[in-house]
Amino acid sequence: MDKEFLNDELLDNALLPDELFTSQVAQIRAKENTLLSDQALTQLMQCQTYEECIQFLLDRGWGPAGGNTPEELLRTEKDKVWELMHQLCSDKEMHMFDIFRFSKDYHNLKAAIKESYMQKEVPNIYMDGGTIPIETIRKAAADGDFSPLPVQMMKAAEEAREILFHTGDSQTCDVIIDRAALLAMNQAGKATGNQLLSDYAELKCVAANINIAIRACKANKSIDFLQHAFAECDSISVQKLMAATRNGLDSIYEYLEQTSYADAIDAIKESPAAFDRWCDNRMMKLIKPQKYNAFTISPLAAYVLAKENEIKSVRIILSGKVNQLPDEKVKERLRDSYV
Amino acid sequence: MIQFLQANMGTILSLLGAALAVGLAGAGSARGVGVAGEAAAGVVAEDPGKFGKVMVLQLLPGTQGIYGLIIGFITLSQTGILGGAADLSIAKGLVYLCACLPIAIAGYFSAIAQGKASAASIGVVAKKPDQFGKAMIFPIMVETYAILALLVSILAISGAANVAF
Repeated sequence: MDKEFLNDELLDNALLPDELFTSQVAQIRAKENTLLSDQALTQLMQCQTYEECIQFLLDRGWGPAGGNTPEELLRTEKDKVWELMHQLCSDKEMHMFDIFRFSKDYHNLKAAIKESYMQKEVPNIYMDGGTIPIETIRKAAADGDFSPLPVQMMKAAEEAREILFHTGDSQTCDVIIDRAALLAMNQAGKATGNQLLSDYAELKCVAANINIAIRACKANKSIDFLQHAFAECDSISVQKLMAATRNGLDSIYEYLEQTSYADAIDAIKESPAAFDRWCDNRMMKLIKPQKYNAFTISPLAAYVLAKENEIKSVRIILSGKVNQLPDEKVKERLRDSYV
Repeated sequence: MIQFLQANMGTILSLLGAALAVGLAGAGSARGVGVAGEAAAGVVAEDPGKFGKVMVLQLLPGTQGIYGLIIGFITLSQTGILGGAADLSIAKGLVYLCACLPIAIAGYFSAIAQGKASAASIGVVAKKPDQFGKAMIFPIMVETYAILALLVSILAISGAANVAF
């Protein structure tokens, strides 16, 4: 993998001294009691109305009481997780969590480049919570000068902008930036020196590559597109996956059968939603051993991911209630819980 | 200076033994109790109601320091240093020093290990307070080795008093 994709700041801050995080992990252990178990999610699903669901969540300590819209409630929970992490970790330690926030930076970059191409402001397209201020990204895209951004982001942004402005091909623009995001995350995961974060980044990268392979195969994309889209990772061979993609879906399944991701095949065959669920469940499987780890930053990272997963499950249930979907349909989409 | 050392080397060696027993075992306990204390504080920050349970777990690595103190006290007493009438041969002083080493070394390392085990058990109590009894067993297992070292140190010091040098 190209060294230039390494986030310099993260590398400087990586490899923390032999920190035990004893107090922080103990606090997280107590916090884990508030996470919704599979049983609690079933109870939530059994609530008759949407209002009952909200009351159930408020009773479990979610959000401030009174006048909660679902989006407010979910956002409050997300904010609470990061507030807690800021309380538990120093600024230097917080950089370990940057890999969870890279995707927002790169999403903002895509939005900013497209906004500058269209030459008009589009409301609500940016995501808060990235590692780089939205205004910095917007200004860089508007000026066409990406030097204030990290090196790996800058190169991807320049390439994507050039393609968009010369050809108007927004899909290739997206693909270039998405690939850069995956490479940056994977490289940053390794640079942390933390096994869990490294495995997280690897899994994200693999899941994205499989997703690209399936979609590109169905859309019969060119080899040039595939080369722009796939991001190198360790546990699957991008070259083999690319060759399989050119040969059809069965070849992709055959190749995956030889990897440690063979159990994804059934989910892929079922539906894109089932594959998304497989990805999240695989992530839960990856982080679950941290429930028994008393030291290091890993249980904190696991808590962040567990909470994100929980928020996703609650969002699915609330959407189901609002849209009056049958419980069976909602249950199919629910993720495994951490606790 | 050389004459002073020759005349008092036995006493100095036995005093060194007592100092190591108290110092190393105490340092180990301080680290162990510190690690467990960090974990305990983390739990109490979220749930102050668990203070009593986590405090007991925090205290477990503190026993090595007490064992070291006991050995140090017996050594000082037996050698006459406490009474101000110490007069030991070099060989006897060396015997007392060796007798103090088991609790000094095992006390130091077992206290640190016990502190980590206590911190992990505090995590158990944080999630499942009703499993307090089981959670306590894990750090107590580490205590076994500190007790064995204490026993050998006591036997060695008792024996040293009867050895003629």
